[in-house]
Amino acid sequence: MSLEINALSKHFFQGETKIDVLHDLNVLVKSAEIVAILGQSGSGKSTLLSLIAGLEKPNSGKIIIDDVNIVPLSERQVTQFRANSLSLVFQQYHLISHLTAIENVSLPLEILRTSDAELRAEALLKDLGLGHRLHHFPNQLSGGECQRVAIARALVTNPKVLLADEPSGNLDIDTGEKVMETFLNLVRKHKTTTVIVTHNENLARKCQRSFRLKAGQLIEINW
Amino acid sequence: MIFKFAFREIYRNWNINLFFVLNLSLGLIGFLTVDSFKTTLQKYISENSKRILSADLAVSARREITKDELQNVRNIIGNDVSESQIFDFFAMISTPSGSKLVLVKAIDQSYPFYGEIELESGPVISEKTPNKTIFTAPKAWVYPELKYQLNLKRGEKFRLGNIEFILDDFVIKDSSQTFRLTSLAPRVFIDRSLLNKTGLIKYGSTFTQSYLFKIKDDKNISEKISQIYSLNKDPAFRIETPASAGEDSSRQLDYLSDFLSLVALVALVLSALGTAYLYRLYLSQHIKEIAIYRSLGLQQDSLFKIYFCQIFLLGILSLIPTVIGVNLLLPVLSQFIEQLTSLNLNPLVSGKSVLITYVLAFISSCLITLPYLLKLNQLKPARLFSEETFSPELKIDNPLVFVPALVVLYFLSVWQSHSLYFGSIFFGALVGLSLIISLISFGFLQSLSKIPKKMAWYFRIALKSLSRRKNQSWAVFLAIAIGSLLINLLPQMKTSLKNDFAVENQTKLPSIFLFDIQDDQIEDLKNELIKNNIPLLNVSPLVRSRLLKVNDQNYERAIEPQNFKTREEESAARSRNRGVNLSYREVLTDTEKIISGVSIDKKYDPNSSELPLASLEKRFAERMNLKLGDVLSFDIQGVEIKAKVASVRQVRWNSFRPNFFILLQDGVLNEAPKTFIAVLPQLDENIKSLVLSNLNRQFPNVSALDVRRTVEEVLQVSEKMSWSLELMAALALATGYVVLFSIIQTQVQTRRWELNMYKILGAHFFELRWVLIFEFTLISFVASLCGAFLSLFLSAILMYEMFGIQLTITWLPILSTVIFISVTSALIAIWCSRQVVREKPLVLLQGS
Repeated sequence: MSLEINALSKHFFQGETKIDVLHDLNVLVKSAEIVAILGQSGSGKSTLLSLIAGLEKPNSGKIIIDDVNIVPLSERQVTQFRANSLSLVFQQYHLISHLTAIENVSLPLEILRTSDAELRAEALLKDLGLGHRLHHFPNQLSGGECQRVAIARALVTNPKVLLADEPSGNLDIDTGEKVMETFLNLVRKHKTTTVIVTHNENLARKCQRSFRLKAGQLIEINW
Repeated sequence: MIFKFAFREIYRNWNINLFFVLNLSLGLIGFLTVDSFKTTLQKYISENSKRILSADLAVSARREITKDELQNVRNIIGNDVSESQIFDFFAMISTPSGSKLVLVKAIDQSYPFYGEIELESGPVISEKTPNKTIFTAPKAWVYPELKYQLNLKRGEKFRLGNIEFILDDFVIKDSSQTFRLTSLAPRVFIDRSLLNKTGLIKYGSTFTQSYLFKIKDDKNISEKISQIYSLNKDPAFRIETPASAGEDSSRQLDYLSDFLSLVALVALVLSALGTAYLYRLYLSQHIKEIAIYRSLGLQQDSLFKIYFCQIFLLGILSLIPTVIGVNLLLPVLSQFIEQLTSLNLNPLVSGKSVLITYVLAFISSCLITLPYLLKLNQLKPARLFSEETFSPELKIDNPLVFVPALVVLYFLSVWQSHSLYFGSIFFGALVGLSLIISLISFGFLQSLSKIPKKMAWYFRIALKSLSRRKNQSWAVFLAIAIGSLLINLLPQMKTSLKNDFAVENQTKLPSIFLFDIQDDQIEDLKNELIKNNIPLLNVSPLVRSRLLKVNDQNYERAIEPQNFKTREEESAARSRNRGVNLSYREVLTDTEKIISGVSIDKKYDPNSSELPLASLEKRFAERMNLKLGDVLSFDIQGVEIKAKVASVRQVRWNSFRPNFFILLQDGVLNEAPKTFIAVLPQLDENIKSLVLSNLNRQFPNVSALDVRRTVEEVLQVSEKMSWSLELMAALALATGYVVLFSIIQTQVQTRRWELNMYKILGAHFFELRWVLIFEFTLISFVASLCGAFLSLFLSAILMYEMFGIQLTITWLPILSTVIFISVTSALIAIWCSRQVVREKPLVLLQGS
């Protein structure tokens, strides 16, 4: 499932000052490809992710996922698209605090009214080595465990595109490496088109391609 | 999915949802209690209405019913009926122990057609009881008050007019008098055939003649009533059905229920305040999760459905503590009512009442929470990403979003009070007072920003917390102030009334009020009294008449609407369907003053071409919709007299001096057939007793009301009525406390981080405790003081508007309320903070 971005631009206004965050950005991520996007703080990485996720609208340009340009879609259509085809992993995990691990993971399937949500969630959590933590709440899990739950939640719907925002940013180096190893193995296994925003060059090198976001443009990195 | 999500939201956040349910249920308890009481009362009336009327149909008038009027009735209702005639009138009963005003009910053998009179010695008198004792000899059945008031016993004799009666038995239960709160005079049942011999009914005497009918075929009764009214047009001719009799008999209780409903509504408003606060907090704490749901693909409308479903379920859950609370409160309320009426209603909670309460709970919850839910539209889930800081804020920018809730409150006020006037005043007062309290609270909180530097740090932190968290502080302030206002209102009004009567008692309140004095008895009466140096004061003529026209339009009988009717409509209909008593004076007394128009003191010149002038009492004019300049036409014994409304007066009715709704100029009615009313000044009890006995002996038709005793009875009844109102007010205060508890508890929880940070910086736990105690005690103290002083302001207005008297301030309730509220707030703060204050600050460092 490919992700194609054409001439994407986004600006904000701070008072009367116009700030160009993304300017005429183009990229093509092939189906099942895993790409990394690096950039300094404030370079617009999160903005790019939120545009791809349909959580914000660009000022111009196209975002084509699986031959569907999501830019002109209505709020309702893009939400439905996100439920069906797209997943997110956040740096701060953003798990629902009053849901257990298995409930957090089955949540996207419940939103899609899938009947065997908990079974699928349980299977994926076991794959991620959390079979003994199914009924624990987020505040009872370690950081690494929380991030694995977040990853499971993102993968449980077999999304066409997965967007990860600093997935190891809140973890120590060792845990982060282990979690990301697991993560990358899973996305390769599911052949999920993946975009990872990260500061971590080691992680970026493990992806098939890497880009640097600078001055609103994506520049491919040759390691 | 929606239901599953909603249910999960509730049980996974059970603690805050528990407070939500508790707040909501406290507000509903008062409403459901009063509604259950009213429903039981209505059911009782409807099941017993025939027993209350003692007939299927009754016609009556405060004069003799003419043969034509009676024949019209008989022609329309047909032949297959039983008929009974009754006279009701005031008279004096005389015994060796003294004299007392009684209400004589002269009945015949067939009374009562329905219901019964239970006698102390055992017999139960009904229609079919043979050989009723009062028809076998001059005997009487009397109400039991006379046992204590005149020391009467069964078998003893007493005089009524010209006849000596034997007290046959005491009436312990009279099904026609089920809701008697207080009466000017206890009832005495005698044989109607003895009426003439008593010599009590003379020209001008106050009496009601009634004909009761038992109708075998009572189909189409409304049509028959319309036909009767179309033939008997005089508005003074009344027809009563069991339904209208039931309504009439319970009117005093209905008024009390209306006021109870309004007080219960205050509890509902306070609980709504607490609920809104809690829900805002709940949504703020969950806004990140809501953003996550949106990022996972949950539609906006699905989110709304989940939270509405949550409110729906919370509403149902709140019914459980509500019904439990009502079942505890209802027996207490009915105990108070039983003290008033001797009626044991045994009110029960009906399914219909529960359903209405639930619908109210659901609608009010939706209206309160909707403004916050609508804010979710502005939620940007994109802020979940790492470079963004997610600091949710649920401020309502536009207060107009709460207008629908206010509209519902207004309709509830009118519906519950059955009065557009009182409902509007209640609503206006509640909103107005809330605004005043809010202004005071913001002013107070603003003043706290100037913190003295020499104060201990924990006190300064407390003041900063209050002044910088204005919204939370305002909610606490408002809840406590309204509760304090309500709880202080009744004692202030009661004390003022009591004091006013006490003052009047010592100075101007008459001891005896005389009425039914014949024209030719006035001089003899004065002479008799002068022998004991007692003047006859405020001698006022009373001329009976009928209002024929207003501004040449016929004055029609008012038919009360069958569906929802306001108390004003009921009162106006009753006023229209009565005869009117006219009087005249040379000068106004000191108990009345003209508030608009001109004086009518000048004597009328019959040769003048101008119409005579009339002066109306203020409330009477409002009820009858009469104003300055209106021309009224009266029928006085077949003679038509016109008068123009020249002024409106305010009358102090609690002076117990002769006063009238309508006064005409002196010189207009002087030759009209009339009786007189008058008063006697303050007298010693012994002299009063002697005077009453003498008067009764010499002037048996003249009735005398013991004013002091009547005032005492009225004060006793109002004291008893106030118990039930105070019960509701206490419920409102309890609701305020729960709101306070909820707010303190949730604030302590949300400030855990802050409190633990103080510990990391070196604060002792007792200093932290002082932060919270000082903060909440201070705001509760100031709020309760504010509410108490506003209650003085409101009491002063109510006393003047309702009774025309000045407020007498009593400081004890104010002091005790303020102290009690402040101490309780301190205790709540201690209780809520006990865990957090003792928590190890390591919890914070570990990031939990």
